[in-house]
Amino acid sequence: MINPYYEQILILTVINIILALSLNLIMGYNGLFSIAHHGFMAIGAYGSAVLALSFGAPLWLAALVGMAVAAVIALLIGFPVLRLRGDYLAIATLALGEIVRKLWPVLPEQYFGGAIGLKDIPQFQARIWANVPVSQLDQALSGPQGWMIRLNGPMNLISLVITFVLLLILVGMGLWGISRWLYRLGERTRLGGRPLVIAYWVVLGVGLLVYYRGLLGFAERMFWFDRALSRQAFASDQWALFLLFVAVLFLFTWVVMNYLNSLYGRAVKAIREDEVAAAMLGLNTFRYKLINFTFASMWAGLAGSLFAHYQLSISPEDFNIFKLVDLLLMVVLGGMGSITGSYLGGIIVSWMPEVLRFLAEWRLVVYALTLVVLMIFMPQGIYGYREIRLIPTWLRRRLSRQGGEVA
Amino acid sequence: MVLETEDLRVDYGHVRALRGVSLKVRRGSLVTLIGANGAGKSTTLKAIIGLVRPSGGRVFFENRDITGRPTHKLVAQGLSLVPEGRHIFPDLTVRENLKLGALLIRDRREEERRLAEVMEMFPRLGERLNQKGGTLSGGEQQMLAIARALMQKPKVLLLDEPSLGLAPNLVQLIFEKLEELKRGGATILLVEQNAYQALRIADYAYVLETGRIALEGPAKALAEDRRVIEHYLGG
Repeated sequence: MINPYYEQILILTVINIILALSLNLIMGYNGLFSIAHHGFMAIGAYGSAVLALSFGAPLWLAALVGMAVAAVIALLIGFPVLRLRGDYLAIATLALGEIVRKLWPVLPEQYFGGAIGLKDIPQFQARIWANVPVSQLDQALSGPQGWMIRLNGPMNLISLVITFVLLLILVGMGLWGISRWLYRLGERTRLGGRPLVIAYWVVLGVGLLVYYRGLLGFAERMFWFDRALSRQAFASDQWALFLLFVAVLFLFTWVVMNYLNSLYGRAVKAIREDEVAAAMLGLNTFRYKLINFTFASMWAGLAGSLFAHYQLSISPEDFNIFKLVDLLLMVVLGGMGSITGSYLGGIIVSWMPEVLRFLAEWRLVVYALTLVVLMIFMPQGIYGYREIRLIPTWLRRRLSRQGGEVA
Repeated sequence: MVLETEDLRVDYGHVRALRGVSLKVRRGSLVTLIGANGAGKSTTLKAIIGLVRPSGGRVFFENRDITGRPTHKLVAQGLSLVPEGRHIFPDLTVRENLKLGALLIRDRREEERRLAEVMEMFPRLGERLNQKGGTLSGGEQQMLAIARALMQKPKVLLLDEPSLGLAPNLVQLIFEKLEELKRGGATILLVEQNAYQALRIADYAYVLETGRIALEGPAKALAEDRRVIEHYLGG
């Protein structure tokens, strides 16, 4: 069974990746410095929570409405605000985010909970395969449908394995990406690319060998290998929730990949590169900026809704300026204009506070220092304007050569 | 008249950039607008194509009032601007840049036909189709910018200082291409600082001074005008 503490961080990681990727649509792909994203997350969270609490709406509907409300408000606000450029846009959107935060205590307290916020928000109910709550598991196992649930044991193991493989791929992507980056860095300096990369892998390997005990210790803390607990663990609602959120994340990523290759996505990137040129292509630049802003804010609303129904209590202070700093950090650190970068940013920013927990109040200082160092050595972030290719380049080239046209 | 402005005025805050510019462009002619820095040449083009909002006056395109209409609609109707400073996409290949020019055309075959036409006109670009736009020389980038605008088959081509920052032999080349376009029947409104070259190839010319038209006439006549020679041709 997985340690609930790490389970919580994993779930927050997924939510953070959704936020990072949606903010990246505005900042990285459209080149607009808009910093009201935590506001739209709050709108999604409150919208969905209020609907579920006060009106008893089913959660899927509440989440959809939360998204819709965030999108509509983004559309209304984007209309005047997106006519601004550069610094002016940043100032206007910053003010916007703060207005949203100050709005909740003023709204009717019976619905919005005032300054304290909302509690006892209903939780997403997700179950793996067996439609049986944990409390009734033992009873169900001995009942007539018990064989089905027993079958689910190994099935759940498979889903567990799939998840870990995905995590491994993500970590591998990060390590491999850093090696590629070092290679390019070495090529530009006198060191040369290859020696630097070899040194990197050697250090990494030696580090792993020396520190493997520490890693084992971490794995022990993260996963509870306990036979008695594991039967319950596989049917755990929390773990199912994680898988559900991962499914939402992958769906979102797929939508974004398609969006970026559509006319809309291409228009948005053209506007980032050169707004005058984009206008000269006959593109209504304002329209595409507005659509993109609304689209991205809608997904921030979804992330907010997932957050609310996972955390089960929200307050205006959950969406303060520090949340914004986290969001910006994810996008800038991971890499502007990159899906891979958004994933990396989301993972790093979610786990860094936990890893740095022993620093207590110094955490934010380390945050800031990380940003400064990063901006000096990697001004575009770890994966700025690049992607990890799931198909290696040589294979892709061979495939496209057979296919005729080179993509 | 395919394109006409009537008493066009533009203010940037309290600064008056244009104080009433009236000019006419006949179909199939090459009209040039010359003048010193800050005379309002670029502003005139921007006001025509809707990049800045005029504070007074009117713009007619094919006898329809298009004053203050949004840029993307004008581009779709057949007005194309090659902006000052080229504005090509440096990270895209020449082919991709050109295809973007035909963004509004859905028909793939029509797109290919136009690409072939444009490459016939600019063989240098044809040789560099798979090269990134940013790796081209200044002159080639300017040709790419013009070619991209031509992919839209504009009824009127607006050019903002195509010779800016180019070596003299390349300036010569660009102007030869413009002459070739004119012979092919294109309608062009050319804004230039290089008055000598512009007057050599133009049919009609306007001289802009601090937001007003100071002089106008057939290009040949203006090239011999004493005031023009003194101020713009360095004679």
